[in-house]
Amino acid sequence: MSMETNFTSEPWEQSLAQVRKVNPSPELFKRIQNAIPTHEKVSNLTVWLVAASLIALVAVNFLILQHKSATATETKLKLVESNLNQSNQLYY
Amino acid sequence: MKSNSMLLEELYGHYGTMVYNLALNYVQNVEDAEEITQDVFLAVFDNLKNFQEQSSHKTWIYRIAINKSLDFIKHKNSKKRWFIFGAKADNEAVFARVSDFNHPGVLLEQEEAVKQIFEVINSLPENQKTAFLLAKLDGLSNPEIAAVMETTISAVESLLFRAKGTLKQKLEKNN
Repeated sequence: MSMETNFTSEPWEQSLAQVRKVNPSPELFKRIQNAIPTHEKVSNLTVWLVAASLIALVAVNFLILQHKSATATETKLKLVESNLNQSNQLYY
Repeated sequence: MKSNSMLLEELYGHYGTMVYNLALNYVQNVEDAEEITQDVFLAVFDNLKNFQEQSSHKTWIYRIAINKSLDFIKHKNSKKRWFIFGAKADNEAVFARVSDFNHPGVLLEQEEAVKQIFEVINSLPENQKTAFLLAKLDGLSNPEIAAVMETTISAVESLLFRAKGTLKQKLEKNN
């Protein structure tokens, strides 16, 4: 005897059998469609491109700052040098 | 070739009602069922590329719907526990909304009886509840349930047998 035949139709089974299928609200699909653009994933390529651009930007900034400070030091030295060499006198 | 949005619309047309009714049977609340349906079709949209034709769209969407419904219930139950024992226990209005019974498929004159049956169904273990809902409310055959639940037909028979036994016992005790 199969397991199924152990139970005849109980009153509660009859009540459950009367539960009808219902249609979802017509607005529901619109809501799903509206949720899609904000839900779309950013591709891995875009993530890597953005990360690489940021690293490049930081590196360029660093190089420019380094170059600027080197130039500034050079200018200061030149200024001191020119002040010292305004005359050929070694002693006043 | 169809775009993903067009394919989603087609899938919603075919399976939207099926997903909504399954969710409704899991949570017995219109707002929650709509939220689950939305989550299911967003997951479908996200995974359209990864879908492999090893199973049918119907079986695949059924699996997503079951997982989303069970996750939703777990999340709600953890919130409920937080409301009861946690710092937000005084928020009665929110707690009441969590446990609302609002199933539009139930006839008004049967609402109390069906509500009582669903309370017992909700107390079943997850896999028994799933097998029972798919068999009794979605009208799936045992082989179809086995395919959706990725188990054997005899395992499904056993789950249904135990679920019905528990339901019969608990409902008789209640009456």
